[in-house]
Amino acid sequence: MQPYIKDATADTPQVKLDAENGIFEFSKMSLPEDAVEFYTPIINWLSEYAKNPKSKTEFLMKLEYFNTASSKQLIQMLLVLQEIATQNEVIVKWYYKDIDEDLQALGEEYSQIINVPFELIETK
Amino acid sequence: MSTQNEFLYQRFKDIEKDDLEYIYRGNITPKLVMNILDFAKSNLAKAGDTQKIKSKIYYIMGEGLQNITRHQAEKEVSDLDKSAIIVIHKKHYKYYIATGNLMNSNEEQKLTSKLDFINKLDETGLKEYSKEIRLTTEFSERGGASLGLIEMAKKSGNKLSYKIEPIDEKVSYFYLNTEITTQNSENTPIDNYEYSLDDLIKTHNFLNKNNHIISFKGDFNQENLLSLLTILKNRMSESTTSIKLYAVMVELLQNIVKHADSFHGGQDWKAGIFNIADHEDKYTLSAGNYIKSNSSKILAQRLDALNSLTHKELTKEYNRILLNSETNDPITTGLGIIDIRRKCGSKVEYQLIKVNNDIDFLTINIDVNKTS
Repeated sequence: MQPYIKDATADTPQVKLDAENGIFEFSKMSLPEDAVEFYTPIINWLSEYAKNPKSKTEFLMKLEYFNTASSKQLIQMLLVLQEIATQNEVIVKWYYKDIDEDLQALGEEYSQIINVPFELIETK
Repeated sequence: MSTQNEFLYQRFKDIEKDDLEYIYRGNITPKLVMNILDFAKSNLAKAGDTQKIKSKIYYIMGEGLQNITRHQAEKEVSDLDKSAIIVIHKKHYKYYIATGNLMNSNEEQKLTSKLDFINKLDETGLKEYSKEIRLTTEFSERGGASLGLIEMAKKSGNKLSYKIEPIDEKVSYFYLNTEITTQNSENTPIDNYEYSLDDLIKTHNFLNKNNHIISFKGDFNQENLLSLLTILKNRMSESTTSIKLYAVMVELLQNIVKHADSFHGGQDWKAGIFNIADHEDKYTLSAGNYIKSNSSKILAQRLDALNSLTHKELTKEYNRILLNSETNDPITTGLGIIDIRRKCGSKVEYQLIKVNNDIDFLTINIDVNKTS
């Protein structure tokens, strides 16, 4: 599978989906005008990957901020990971800045509603 | 009606397409000047003026803003009431760049005679004076001598109106207002509209009294939203509070971008007004926009319902909407509002003002408490 790479813009994140190594990374900001439009190809790519995943998949959530429209899309991606996790090893690494209590709380909440192991990682 | 909502509505109600008002009050840094210019640029790109006029406005704005960073009294301003103010105001075909800043009183005489001299010159006189200054004056540590003011008068084609109000024996407050007319006189419709120095001073006093720091009225779109966020980010150092403020601002403004009714002048723009107040213990964010009466009833019911939920119930509702893949629009489902309530704890205060049988004016006020 071809990797899916997108550079960050002022309102969309940097996306690096590497099927070869099973590492997916999202960073920077996500507040696009149309979150569905931005994330649909990404969710499609992930669903394709889910048909034949690596034995270990890592999802690195390094977004510094995402709006509520993006959070719905993020959940859709995590649900795909949940599917993969029924047969294979999956881990979500959820990064948050120590001063960002809201992002930390979201990580804790999402780990409760999504059946995939979460590792919450505090950064400076 | 609260003073806050009344203020928003009074400023908003005569809005027409291409109208714009941007107000910033606080310490002006060179970085912030760049942010504000970027913001102006993205707005100018859309306005229906010629390239020549756009670059003129951009130039005058740059000079006016740099004047503040160059000339403002150099003592630390701890009192926000004495910090600088910038107003970019557009109505019909007239732009106004209005600024206010502290200055040392001992420079008052020099500045006044300089401005009075410039205001007496016609176009040719300004050109000659500009040349003369360029050739003879050594650049002072203040940078650019009075060239900035001369160029503003030259490019705007209008007089520089100003007022100096003494604060104490050492410092005064200097207001400057420049009008830029954007059409040729023969095409210009007769219009007595004017944004005057008195308007500027009245606005400034109101902002001081109500602790307002940033205000925007005009067409809400993603680009303006991003510019306003950048300005806010560069004003505040990153903290738990600034992160919350940022998040609330995104949800509130995207709400306007997606759902406001422009009411006047077609559907291709979203008229809105947005305001941040910086109080001792909290920030208050206010947003106002037109909304169709039938939508406003549904929205009001939804807001009442969400306001009545406990923190635990809010989390349950948040998860329910999050996992429901049928509805992707976070605003009609209220996901944005739930997110704001969860982050801030306080209720989302709203008010609907009836404009006519079909349209209401909606204001939403949200408090973000300052945490240590």
